[in-house]
Amino acid sequence: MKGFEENTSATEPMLGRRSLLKLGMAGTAAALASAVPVPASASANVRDDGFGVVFHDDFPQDISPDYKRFDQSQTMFNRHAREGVPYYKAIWDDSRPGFSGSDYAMNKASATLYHRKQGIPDYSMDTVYVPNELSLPTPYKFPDAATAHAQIKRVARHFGANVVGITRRDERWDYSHVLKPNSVSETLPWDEAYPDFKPKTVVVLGWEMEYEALATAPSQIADATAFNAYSGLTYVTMHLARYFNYMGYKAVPAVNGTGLNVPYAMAAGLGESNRMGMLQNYHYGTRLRVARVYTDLELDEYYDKPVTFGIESFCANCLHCADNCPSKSISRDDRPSMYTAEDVKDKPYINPGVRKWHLDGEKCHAYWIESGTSCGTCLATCPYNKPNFWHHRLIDRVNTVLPGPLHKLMAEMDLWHGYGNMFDEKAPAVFWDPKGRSYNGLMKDY
Amino acid sequence: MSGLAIFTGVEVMFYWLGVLSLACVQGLVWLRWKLQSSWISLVVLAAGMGTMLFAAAWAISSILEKEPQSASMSMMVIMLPGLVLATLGGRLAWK
Repeated sequence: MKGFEENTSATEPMLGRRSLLKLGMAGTAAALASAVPVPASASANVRDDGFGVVFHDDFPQDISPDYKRFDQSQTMFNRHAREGVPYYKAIWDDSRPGFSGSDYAMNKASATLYHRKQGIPDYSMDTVYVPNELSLPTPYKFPDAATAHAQIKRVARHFGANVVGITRRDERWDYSHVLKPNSVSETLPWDEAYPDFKPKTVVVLGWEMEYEALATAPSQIADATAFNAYSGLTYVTMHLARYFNYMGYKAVPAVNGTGLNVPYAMAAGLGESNRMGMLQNYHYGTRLRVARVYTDLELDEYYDKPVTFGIESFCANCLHCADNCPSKSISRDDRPSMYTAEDVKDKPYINPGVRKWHLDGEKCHAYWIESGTSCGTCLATCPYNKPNFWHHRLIDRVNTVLPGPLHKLMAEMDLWHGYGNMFDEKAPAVFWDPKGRSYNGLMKDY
Repeated sequence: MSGLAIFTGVEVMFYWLGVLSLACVQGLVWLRWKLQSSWISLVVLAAGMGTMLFAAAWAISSILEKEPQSASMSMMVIMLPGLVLATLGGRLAWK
C-alpha cells in the first residue's frame, strides 16, 4: 500500500481511505434502504401492479340507468344453436399449415375437460357444489380479510390459475336467466336456478394462452391453446369450488355460464375492456381466458379494485385488431359508445347500456364456422399480446404513461418490429420447432 | 446462449451488459479526472453509451426470442441515434 502511494502522482486526484470508507457506508445505506420493507396498505399486500395503473373505487365504465341483466339464451352461440348453426366445427387439411391431422387432434384433445358432458353431479359447471361429510363442521373463519385474499389466491394459483381477483357478487353481471343443463333454449331465472344459494363473493381466475400457439391464428393450433385454457379453468374452478366446500361454504364454478366474465374480471381488478370488448390484462394483455367461482363466503372488505392503465387511449389509436379481423366484426369507432335498446333491436346478442366498444358477435361466429376455427386473430395481433420478456414488459409500462398520439406511433412500431402479422403460414412451423423459442434462453423441448 | 445450462440467456446478457456499463462509467470517470472533460460532453457521451447498451440488450433479447426483424429495428432505431450521441460526446470530451 505504501509503494502504491509512492508511485502516485502528487497532483493526480486520488480516492483516499476516508473517502473509500464514506463510499462504502453510502453503498451499505443504499442497500439497506432498498431492503427495508415499505409499510404497505392491505391492498398492496394482495396485489402486485406496476406503474401507470390507476385504481378506481367504482366500476370504470359508464352504466346506463336503463341497463338490464342479460339473458343467457340471447348469447350469440345459443341464438345460432337454435338456428341450427353449430357452436364450433374444427376442420383438418394436411396441405395447410396449422390444420394438419396432428393440429386438429391437439385442438380436440385440448377441450377434453371443458367439453365433458354437463349434468354429472359434482363434476359440472354452473351447478352448486355443497359441503359434504368431510367438510369442516362449522364454516372456517379467516383471521381477517387480507389473509382470506392471500390464501384464496394462493390456493387458486396452486391449482394453476395465472391471475386471480376477488370481488363482491354484483347481480348486474349475472345472467337474468340461465340455461338449463344441455339446453340452448330452456331457461330459468337466476334465483330459481340457484334457490338455496346466495353468493356473496366471486373469485375471478385467468389462465394464460400460449404465445406461439396463439400467433398461428386462425388455426387449429391457436384453438388448441384457447381450449386448453378452458380445460385448465374447468379444472381450477372445480377444485377451487371444492376448496370452499371443505371449508364449509357452497360454491358454483363457472367458465362461460352463469354470468359475464369481462365485467367481473374488471371489477376484480384484472384489467380493462379493450376495442374487442374483451379483457386486457395488465400482465398477459389479450392472451388470457377467464372464469369465475361464486361462493357464499363473505369477506369484511374487498381489496381488489377496478384498474385502468391507458388501454382506452391505446385502443383508440391502434386498430390492429379491427384491421386484421377477417369478418370485420370489430368496431372502428374513435371512442367507446353507449348503445340503447333501439340501437341493438336487430342484434339482441348485444346487451346495451354499457359504454364500450361493441363486437358484432354474429359476424364473428359466422367466420368461425366458415374458417373451421375460433379465429382469434384480434387477440393475437394486439400489441399487448407478447411473451413474458423484459423488453415487452417495458413497452407495456411505457404505453401506460404515453399521451394518445404517441400510442399510434407505438402501434406502428410494433408492426415494424415484426410483430402482429396474422395469417402467417410460417407461424405453425415456429410452434412445432423442437428447439422452441426458449424465451429465457435455457429451456429446451426434449 | 444458456450459460452452461445454469444461467438463462437473459441472465448472461445482463451480466455482460453490467460489465460493459461499469467499463463505461470508469471511462467517464477517467475522462473527467485525467482530461478534465466538460460535464456537458460527458452527459452527451453517457447518454449515447447508455442508448447503445439498451439497443444491444434489445437486439440480443429479440434474437433470443427469434424475432430478427425486431433486432434489426433496434439497431436502426436505437443503436444509430446512440452512436451519433456517443460520437458527438466523445469528440467533445476527448481534448
